[in-house]
Amino acid sequence: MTEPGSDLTGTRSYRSSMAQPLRSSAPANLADILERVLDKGIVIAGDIRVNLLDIELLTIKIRLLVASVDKAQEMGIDWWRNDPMLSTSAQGLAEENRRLRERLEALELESGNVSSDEETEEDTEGETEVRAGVPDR
Amino acid sequence: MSQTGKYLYAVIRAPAPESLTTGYGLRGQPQELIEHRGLVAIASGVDLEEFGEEGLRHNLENLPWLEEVARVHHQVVQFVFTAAPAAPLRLATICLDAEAVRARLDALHDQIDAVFGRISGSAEWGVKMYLRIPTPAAASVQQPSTPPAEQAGRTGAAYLQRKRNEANKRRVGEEYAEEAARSVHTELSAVAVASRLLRPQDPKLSGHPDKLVLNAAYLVRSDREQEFVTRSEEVLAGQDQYELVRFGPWPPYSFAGLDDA
Repeated sequence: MTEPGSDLTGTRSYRSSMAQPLRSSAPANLADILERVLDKGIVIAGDIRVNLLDIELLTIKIRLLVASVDKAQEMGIDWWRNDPMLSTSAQGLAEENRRLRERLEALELESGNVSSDEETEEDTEGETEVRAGVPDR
Repeated sequence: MSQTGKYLYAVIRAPAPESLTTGYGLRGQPQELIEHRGLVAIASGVDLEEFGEEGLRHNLENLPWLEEVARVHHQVVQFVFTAAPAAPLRLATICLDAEAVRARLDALHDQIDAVFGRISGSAEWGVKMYLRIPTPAAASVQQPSTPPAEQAGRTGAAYLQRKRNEANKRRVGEEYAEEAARSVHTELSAVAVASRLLRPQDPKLSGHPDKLVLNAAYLVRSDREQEFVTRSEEVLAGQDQYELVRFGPWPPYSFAGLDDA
């Protein structure tokens, strides 16, 4: 979307180096760039100080591009639950979870069977991209 | 009337290659080389209206702005990197003037110098490995959504069982995938000087539907690049359930931290 050439006159040398990364397969993807320029490299406190962690909204959304949701939850960020743009799949899962529980309860009542439903919830702690959106309760 | 500051892109060791005197940075401003004690910072002037504390706080919220600045930052770092071993700086590192930049170079001289000990002659390669998920959502979407309470009998049981089966299948696939990812990582690390596991990118936001099972960066010496590339191409041969995305050579962002030693 951006046209780097437009405000970078005379940059042919590195534009061409960008255009042909040696034998590379994928073009530079924004998430990969942000992951690195926001989070990596040499971190020096400049004279202008803006704590990137203090930046909210879009930047946090960007940080979430690169941070997993469970990491964000660790940081106490959970706004996406109320963000209709982003929370659909989380809501979907939560909703499905709720429906399953209701069915399970109904089944248990019906059959008098007291099976446990715990196994639907546990396992794979670190692997939570999808399930982390589900409020755990 | 508006003040200017120095936006820093990268640091290299002196002497700076001639080619670096010709580049441009953010907003078309010419690159400046600020040298101090054998280190050279690549910088360009920025308007503090836009890049001061006030401006940044506001602008960083603006996705198109952030994207553009990040891309230009990356391009300049890439440009520098093609000319000399370069230690990238984090986005939006800004000093008030060249003197302040020299003071930073002075204070951090030894640490920065140590970074070059690690990264010289090497580049960063990014590798992401996806497990192609046979869209578990598709199965549930096909089912017309049934009111939960009413049909909790046989249908409910079958539904539940199917859900469980699906979940189990998925889990098994993911366990295999984790193992496969570990072995890919081991394979590739063997050709690299150093490696870093990066955080998984969230599929909800990155828009990539498949499950990211490996997001890693490798610091690879230039004389082993070909070997690295070949290995990355062969390591998952015949395993169509995975997709491996590789990019590089990049400036060694993930290996230039001052306290990574």
